[in-house]
Amino acid sequence: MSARGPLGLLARVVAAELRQHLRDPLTLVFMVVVPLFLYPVLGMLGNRLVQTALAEADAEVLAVAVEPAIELPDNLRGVPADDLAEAVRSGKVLAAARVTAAGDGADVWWDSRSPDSLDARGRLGDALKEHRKATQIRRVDAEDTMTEADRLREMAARILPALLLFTLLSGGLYTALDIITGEKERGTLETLLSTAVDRRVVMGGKFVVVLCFTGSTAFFSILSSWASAKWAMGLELPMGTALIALGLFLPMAVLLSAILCVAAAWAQDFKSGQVLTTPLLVMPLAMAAVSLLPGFALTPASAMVPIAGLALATREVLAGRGEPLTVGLAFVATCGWAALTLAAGARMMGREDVVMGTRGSGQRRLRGDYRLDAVGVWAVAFLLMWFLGQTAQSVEVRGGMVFTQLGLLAPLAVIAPWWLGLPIRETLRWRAAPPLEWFRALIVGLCMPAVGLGAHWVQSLLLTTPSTFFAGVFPEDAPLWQLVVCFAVLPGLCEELLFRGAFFGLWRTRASPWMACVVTAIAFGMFHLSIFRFLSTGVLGLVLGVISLRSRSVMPGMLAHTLNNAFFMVAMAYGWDVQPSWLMVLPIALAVAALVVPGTTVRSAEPGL
Amino acid sequence: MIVVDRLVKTFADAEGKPVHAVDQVSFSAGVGEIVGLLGPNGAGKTTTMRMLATLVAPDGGQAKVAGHDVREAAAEVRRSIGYLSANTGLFGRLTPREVLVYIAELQGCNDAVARAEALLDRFDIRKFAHVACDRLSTGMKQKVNIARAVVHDPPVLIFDEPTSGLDVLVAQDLFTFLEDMRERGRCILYSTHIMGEAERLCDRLVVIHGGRVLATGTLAELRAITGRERLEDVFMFLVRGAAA
Repeated sequence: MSARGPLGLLARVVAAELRQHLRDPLTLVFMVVVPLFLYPVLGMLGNRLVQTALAEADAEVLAVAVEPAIELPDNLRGVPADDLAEAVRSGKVLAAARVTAAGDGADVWWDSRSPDSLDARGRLGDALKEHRKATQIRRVDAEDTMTEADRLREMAARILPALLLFTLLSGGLYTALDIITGEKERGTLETLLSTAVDRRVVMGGKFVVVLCFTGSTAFFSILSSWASAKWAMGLELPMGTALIALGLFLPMAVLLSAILCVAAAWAQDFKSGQVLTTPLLVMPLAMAAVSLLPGFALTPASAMVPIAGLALATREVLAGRGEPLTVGLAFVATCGWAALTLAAGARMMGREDVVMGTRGSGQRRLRGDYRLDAVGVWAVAFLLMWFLGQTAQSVEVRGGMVFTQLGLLAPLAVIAPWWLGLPIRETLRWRAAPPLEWFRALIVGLCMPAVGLGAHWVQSLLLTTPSTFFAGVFPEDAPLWQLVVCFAVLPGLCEELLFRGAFFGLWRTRASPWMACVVTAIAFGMFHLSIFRFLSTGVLGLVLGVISLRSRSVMPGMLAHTLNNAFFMVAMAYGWDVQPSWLMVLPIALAVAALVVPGTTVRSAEPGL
Repeated sequence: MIVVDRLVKTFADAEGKPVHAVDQVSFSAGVGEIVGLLGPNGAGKTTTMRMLATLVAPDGGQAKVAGHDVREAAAEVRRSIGYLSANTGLFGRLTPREVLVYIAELQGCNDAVARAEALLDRFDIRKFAHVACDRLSTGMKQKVNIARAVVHDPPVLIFDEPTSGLDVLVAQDLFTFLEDMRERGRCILYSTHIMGEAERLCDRLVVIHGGRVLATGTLAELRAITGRERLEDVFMFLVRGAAA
């Protein structure tokens, strides 16, 4: 007889089930780590990108027609037009207005499909308000030049890409899990792998099956949406347009099928497969959702972005305004991404440890592979920085910075190798460097601000940094010595210890020094929590990595990092207007020369752990 | 037909410390011979067989199957073996006939259909040939699986605990089949926990424990070494001796 009552037994069941599931690391990862990362990343990318898109839209001069002509603000350009409504309908102008003969009112025409037209209507309304002060205009009537069918088509064009992507993913997801992860569990994968057929052929066959399912889902989705638009909404979507949309989605099907297959192969069992593939439903959908957001246009740059580029291209095609060249570019770019993913997937699915499920943290460590641990260290640093560092800095910038660097990053750099049972000094490459390497770091450190500015200028060609981006980041009224200590010396010491020390040291365990250098630079760029600083901080990370590589020590990089940051603090304190210019070529050339000059250790191999 | 020379496979525990699943294992099996691989759970039998089937790569040593090196000529090795283990499942939504034809084609047989039909008769599964494998009984599934393993008529059979979960009747059918295969010159590596099976079938025995070979020889030779009569006592004597 059990001494427990029903509630006691219920509690016992709950406790045992919780113990069972909480001991599965993947459950914990997706319950805790994914939500912690997802929202910062979406917030960082989405909010900033929308800000940029809106800022760019604000800065654009829009064409309008006004009859009779009135004084327009700088962000509107007057264009003569005979038929105002037709001028808007044809796209000649974004909005038009006619002030009545009596001068007491105005009629405005606009195109509800276009966010730019909405913007132009707003600006024109403001201009008429200004004009009204001097005249008798009492009413402004806005008229949409688009028909109901046009509006429906626009709505469909915005929603369909994300919807198509969702159906495509759901079509391939179960198949990938069933024929790869499920077959691992059921043993049929081992049956196949024990035949004479090459492992990659087996996995390639499975990929083609997943592709068939995703492709078929895309076909039936487009067929169904075309029929529904025609019969349910009364919307005539040309068959040619639907076929082009289908053609556009085929490389998307290849890309997503490859991603699904890799995730399914990586999973050891069906449960972990489901856990791993769940974010695959979220992330591509989030990227495709740009077709719904205001201000995102299909440009040569956005066409190159995986998933988002093709979603925008499909939107434009379905809306009947796609420019063939840009749409083609999105198609080609997606084909390229699909090919890359396929190549990476083929390589991964040929691996014994992935296919046979014999990998694990112990197995990696036995091989001396600590790269995944490096990613873990980066992830912890990111979370610490996002949740604690930013909070502390929002309370008091200088104190928060001291806390972030000395209280979070430096301890993490030291604890990581200790936790992994690795020698701390060797992992962090905490060793003396010859004088020549210090001299190299001095020269490069003095020239690095120009390198960073150059990189920032290149990035600004693709992504405009909002003018208010750096406002309030640094306390401008603080004494210079405090700025230098908090924003130059401490980051120079602690970030170098974490990135060129711990992260590089762990990644270096199974990668060439140069590859470790590049990966560390990317990690360093991503760590700075801003897509506007990604390229500049990434390039600086690369330069610091080269210094560290050549000196075989983390120390000279600390000097260069400190000098770089100190320059900007001094510039801010003295009010220097630091802007990119052609003069930067000189220090950049000097930095490159200093980096390539052979040193005392250049011929020595970078020692491993 | 099978030559295993100082084969090594090392895995890692959760802390990354090496665990030698197979440690310097050596033995051989010839034409028309059934060699039994005996050992307690975790002894390294399955890992050894998986290395011979080229499913996992050895970390050291050498192994040749039908004259082909498991590392350098993996495809030829797999073409030369029929591999059956607890992990080799059947495609549940395919019928036995479809499974046999499919595997025969993957193994490069031009007469896949004819081979499949012959095996349906040989294993007495014709009346279930059109039923999805998921709906077959355990014994029937294992019959299909054995037929699947030999559909390309390989010279070497590697069977890892093939009688697990089978009733006596199906097990007897399997023994008869394996004895027939031996008569036809096939080399068979057979692992089991059931000593009676090993006594009945195996010409030679390899006792393995903790990844190491404890003893090899005929049953008579092992009896002589240990001074025990029953194979179960021989096995216990060797394994307990190694543990001590």
